[in-house]
Amino acid sequence: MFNDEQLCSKLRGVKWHNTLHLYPLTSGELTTKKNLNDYLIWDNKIKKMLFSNYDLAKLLMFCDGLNSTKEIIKKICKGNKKQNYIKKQIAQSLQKLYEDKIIVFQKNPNKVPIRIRTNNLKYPLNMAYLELTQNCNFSCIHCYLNAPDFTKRRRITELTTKQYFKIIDLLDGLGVISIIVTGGEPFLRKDILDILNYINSKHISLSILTNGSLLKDKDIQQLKMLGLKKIAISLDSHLEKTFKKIRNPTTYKKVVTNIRKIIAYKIPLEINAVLFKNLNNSYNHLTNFFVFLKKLGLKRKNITCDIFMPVGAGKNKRYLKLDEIGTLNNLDLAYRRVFHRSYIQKQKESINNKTYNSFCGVGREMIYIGSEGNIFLCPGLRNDDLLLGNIFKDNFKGIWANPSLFKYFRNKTYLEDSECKSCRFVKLCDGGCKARAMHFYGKLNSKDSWMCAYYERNKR
Amino acid sequence: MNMKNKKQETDVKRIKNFNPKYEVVKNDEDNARGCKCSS
Repeated sequence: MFNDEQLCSKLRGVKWHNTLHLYPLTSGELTTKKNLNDYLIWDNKIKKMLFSNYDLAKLLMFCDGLNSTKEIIKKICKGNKKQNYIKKQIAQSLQKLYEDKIIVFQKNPNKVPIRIRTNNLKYPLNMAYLELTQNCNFSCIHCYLNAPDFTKRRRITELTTKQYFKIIDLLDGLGVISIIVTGGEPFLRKDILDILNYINSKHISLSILTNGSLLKDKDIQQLKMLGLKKIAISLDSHLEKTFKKIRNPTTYKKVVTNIRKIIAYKIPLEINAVLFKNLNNSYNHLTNFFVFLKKLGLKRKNITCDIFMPVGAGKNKRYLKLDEIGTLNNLDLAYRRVFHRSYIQKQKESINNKTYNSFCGVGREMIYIGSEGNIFLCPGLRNDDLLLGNIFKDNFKGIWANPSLFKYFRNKTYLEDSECKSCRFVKLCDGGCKARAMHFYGKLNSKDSWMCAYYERNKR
Repeated sequence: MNMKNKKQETDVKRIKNFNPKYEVVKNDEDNARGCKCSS
């Protein structure tokens, strides 16, 4: 058996013997949740989310500040012959957790809580979109909601602050680990910060989707205090005239100013760009756009691109549908030129030794709650004919356990009579985005040609 | 009793192959994901 010094020499860069009598502990805001095949771990202080296997989740449960490293090893090794192997595994894992800033070591015992979010549903629900309003001060040509222009008319139906608190309580009780606040434009609500604070008090991962035009300095300061997983701002072009064509005539400068402020405050920011044919999908435009964002201080990981879908306000604008393969080529080349990295991510192995699957989780682990309390599958499938029920009128557990939903999404029935069935990439995308399939080809089980192009290019 | 033995067996099996693994979920992984809100 290794002694501590020998074990230390096996771990490059770690003075392992120094940590044996120290107490590893997490930030105190760590939540673990058992998923179907793995564990989902969220740290609300350092804003990191992990997928882990059972063993790592078990190891983390010991990192509560009351067990020294030596005691953890002793407890896990108890009654086992392979002690050297286990000791090495624990040492390596603690080292990696320390490097990723998920744990720290302390000299004295100091208990910190570790929350276990129980899953009360047969199929775990991890993520919820929460639509705070349908009103918006923009009038985007592609808005999936077809949100009414706030300056011209306003929809009356909107839930109250208390009703949102009730929804958040319900989601918390159901084991939701991540909430994405969206709209309309959520910052049109005066109680937005109260709602965000309430979500944060539940130790749930919080992200916001906004157009960024209504943020005041005070709001940005509050958001910094609040701690967000990310704030996502829609920006599709560095050119004011293109922005005007897509979004709104007057607010380009305000949005860019707020982006600068958010970067200055070091709030995690993501730029969401939607690409359209002949508007912003050319190589030159994308290159200049990325150069503009890079100059603002953004990195490759802060930018995501989606494509136009003919739904809502864009329903009769099929002429904006782009050529997927050509656009993806332009996107990839522009990324390479500006960020020196490919837009296409190499496939990696997941923690269960299965290939990483890019399916978003629609019908399996996420839900969309509209501003009237209506429940939908996802933001892109917000059609009235796909309404699942109402959070105040119907039993949510009953809706989530809906046999047809189970069968269709969770057993992947949609693949059975789909052209995706015989595709060589089906294990990577599980059929891709069902909203794109629905809106471009009319059926949920149709292919998602954006994903097809993505994986086709990935294999090159 | 049988259930208890079975649980103990599973625990022993797990510990024998003790192999903690995790991956940090990165924001940019959404690139590959289908779901993006374009509001």
